[in-house]
Amino acid sequence: MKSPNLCHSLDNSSPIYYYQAFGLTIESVLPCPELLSAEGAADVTIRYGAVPDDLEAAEQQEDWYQVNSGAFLLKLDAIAKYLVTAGEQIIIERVPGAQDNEVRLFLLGSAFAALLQQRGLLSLHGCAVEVNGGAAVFVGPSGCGKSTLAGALRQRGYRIMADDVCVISFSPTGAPLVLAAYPQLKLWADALKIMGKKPEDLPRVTAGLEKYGLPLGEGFSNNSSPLKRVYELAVSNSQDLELTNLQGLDKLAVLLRHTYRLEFLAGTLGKKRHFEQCGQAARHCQVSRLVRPSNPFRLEELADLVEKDWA
Amino acid sequence: MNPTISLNSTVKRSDNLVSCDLDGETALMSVENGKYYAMDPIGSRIWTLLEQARPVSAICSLLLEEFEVEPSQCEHDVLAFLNELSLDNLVEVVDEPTA
Repeated sequence: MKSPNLCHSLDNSSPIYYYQAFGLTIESVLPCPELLSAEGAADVTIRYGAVPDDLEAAEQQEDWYQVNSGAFLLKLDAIAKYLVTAGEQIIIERVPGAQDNEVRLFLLGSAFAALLQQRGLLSLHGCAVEVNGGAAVFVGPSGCGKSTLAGALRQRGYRIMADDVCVISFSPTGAPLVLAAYPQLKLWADALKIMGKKPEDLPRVTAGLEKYGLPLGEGFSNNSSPLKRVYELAVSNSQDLELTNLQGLDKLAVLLRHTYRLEFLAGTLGKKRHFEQCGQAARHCQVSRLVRPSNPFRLEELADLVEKDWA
Repeated sequence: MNPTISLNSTVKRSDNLVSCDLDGETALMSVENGKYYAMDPIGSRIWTLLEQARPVSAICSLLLEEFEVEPSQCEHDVLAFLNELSLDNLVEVVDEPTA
């Protein structure tokens, strides 16, 4: 017999909130003010409940997560445990005293990434901007300036579709479509200052980190748009800005390299599908490498270069 | 340890691979080890020929028709390439003739 488990976070009697993100309707017991409100039948349910410490027959296992063929378990010591199943449900067991914004940060980040993988969608680590009815995606490692560049483009009138995680679905004919996420841009304090915003007016993404959530309001586009361009943003020691169009397998390599939470992917089928999706996306869009100096950022010139590429 | 591939070997693609063609180049993913492989246009051509099991000598004959290369050089390069693929279980030998 398994030992009985006393759970401190079974309170599902609180109100239920309805949201939309990534083309899905979400029913949640945890309020997520970052998300757009919605109505109607839910595709995804988020509730509180008991979450096990281990998954049976885990294929992938690290200190902080486990994956098996149908489920994903995320374990964060001071915050919560999350169990994600069948692309439809996330159960959260909170650690007493955890802050809502921290519980949400990992819910909307890693837990959602696993859920979207379970639904067979491709997620890239990047921001998406709406351009002429299509989507341009900026991918790259944390700190390379993706969100800052998206913020600069926002100030030039472009609308943002996704920040940090860019989710792509495929039409029956195989055309990649970027799904709008939610109206928030996460920016470091220095990036906000470049944009003339005051960090002290905004909520921190998590306590102790100089990263803030900037609500996008009208600057968000909730339309899903065909994927047209992918830019791999990189930082170099040179003082020059560079834009190079890639061909063939170099295009594929960018998409493989910047897949969000690739390590969460389990099973032969999932890995095959991911590889094929990256190939499919690469065939349908232009992929370029965009290099900027580390200091100064040359943000406005970088935005000029990208805009010229769209002209 | 996989058997060394010779001119008389008949080889085929292994199972459990996914391939992707992009602008005339081929990328492979081995489901077994999770690694990605990229092939240049000539490697991609050989890979295409391996869609069905073929003797190495037949592959060389076909390549000699298509590319300007000395037969001995072609055999050497093809065998080196196939043995490299075999090392990571991307191809396997079928019907190895008994000595």
